[in-house]
Amino acid sequence: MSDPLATVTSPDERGMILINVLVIVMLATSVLAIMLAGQDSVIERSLSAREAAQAMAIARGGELSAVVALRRDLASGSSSDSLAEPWANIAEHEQAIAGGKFSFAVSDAQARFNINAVARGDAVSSAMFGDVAAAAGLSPAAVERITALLHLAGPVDDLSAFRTAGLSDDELAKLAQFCTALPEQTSVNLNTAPEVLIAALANNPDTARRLVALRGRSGGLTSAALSAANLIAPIGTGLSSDYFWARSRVTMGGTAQAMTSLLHRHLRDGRPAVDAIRRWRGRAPLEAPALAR
Amino acid sequence: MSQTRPEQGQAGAGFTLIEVMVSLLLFALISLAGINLIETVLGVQHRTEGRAERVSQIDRALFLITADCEQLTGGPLLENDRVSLTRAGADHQHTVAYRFSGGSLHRSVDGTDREILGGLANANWRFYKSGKGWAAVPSTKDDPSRPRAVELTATLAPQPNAVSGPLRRVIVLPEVP
Repeated sequence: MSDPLATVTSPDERGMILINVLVIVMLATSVLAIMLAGQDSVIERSLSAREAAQAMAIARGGELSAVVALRRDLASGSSSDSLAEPWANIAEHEQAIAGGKFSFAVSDAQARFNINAVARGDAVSSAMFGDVAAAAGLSPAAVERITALLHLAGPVDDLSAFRTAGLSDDELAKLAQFCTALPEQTSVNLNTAPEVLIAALANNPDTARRLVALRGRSGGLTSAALSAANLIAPIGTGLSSDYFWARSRVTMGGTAQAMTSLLHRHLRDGRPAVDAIRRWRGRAPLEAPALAR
Repeated sequence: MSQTRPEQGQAGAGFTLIEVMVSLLLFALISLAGINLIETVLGVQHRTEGRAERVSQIDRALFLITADCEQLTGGPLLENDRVSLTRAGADHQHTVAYRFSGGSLHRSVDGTDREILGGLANANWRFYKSGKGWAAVPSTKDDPSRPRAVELTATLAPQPNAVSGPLRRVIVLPEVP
């Protein structure tokens, strides 16, 4: 086949046609490039939405494994809850998973003093709170403001409610060291509470030291172990827990999602049940223990 | 002076009318093909962009609704076609309300109202209670307990170049302590 252009056009002119074609191809290519760039941003956005949804599903999976571990613990029939038990040891730290990282921890919500006890208005609870607040380094004025709010408005959902009582972030952080807000009247679990809190509740640093030493030796306190060691549990304390924190943090690609759940363990129709009664996405409430160890 | 220009005297130094016409015709044909190509590319871009944008809008709206319901601390209440609830937050609790008006779903957080999803034919909420099944109201005077789950059903109105059809999301609420 002979070149059809050759019959009517000179070599110069063929060069012109080539330039013409090249210009059009260049135009089409640049439009295509712009289009691809535009698509890229849409794809990027749906990708990050997908990552967020995936991360949230994994965080919910973490919550579910806490629920299962706690239910199993209650079903096993142990009367005390200590950090030596399986539920306290299923934590993961920056564990590599497909496409990201996963951190997770279960902790005891009753390791702190339940501030809603003060709302009852009895002298014992108020005195106990006074001691705990003093141990946390809160001023008597702040204690008064907190007590006044609890008497006036009743139990609070979380510690951030005291912002309305005029507490500063610094004071709230101090309060959150040893206090929490739970929906029912609860006791402080001696198996998980920090020594300073036990000392404040017992009004006796020596008792607290012996209790902590005993729980360190035996793995977990039981009422039998307490009476054998001639120790009396301070008022407002116990050895088991019904409320727990489950915290997960998932990093998926460029997205990070965190979830904090407050779990309530109880018997429903005679069978152990664990329910998530409150959840926080993103930033955790003040009273939730830190996730990283 | 009798200096000849170099191109003079060479065959093909100038263009005949026929040559110019033919080359113009060729240019026109190539340009036409090129314009068609660019047009197709632009059309595809327009269509896919609309779709992807719509899907990410829907994703975002559902993500927000799920986040609100999963963090619920009080409610849900149904008042004048508004579904309202309080939601946990790290600093303070938020009041969230959803309403459907003018073909779009609006979400207001602490009083700030914003449209989160438009192009809807309708949007309905239902509430699930153990032993009672799905109901249109979250709680009644006789039974003020919190529902166990919330369902949102919406119909995406038919639009050119966009997904349409029913949309349903069921979210399990936190238990009452």
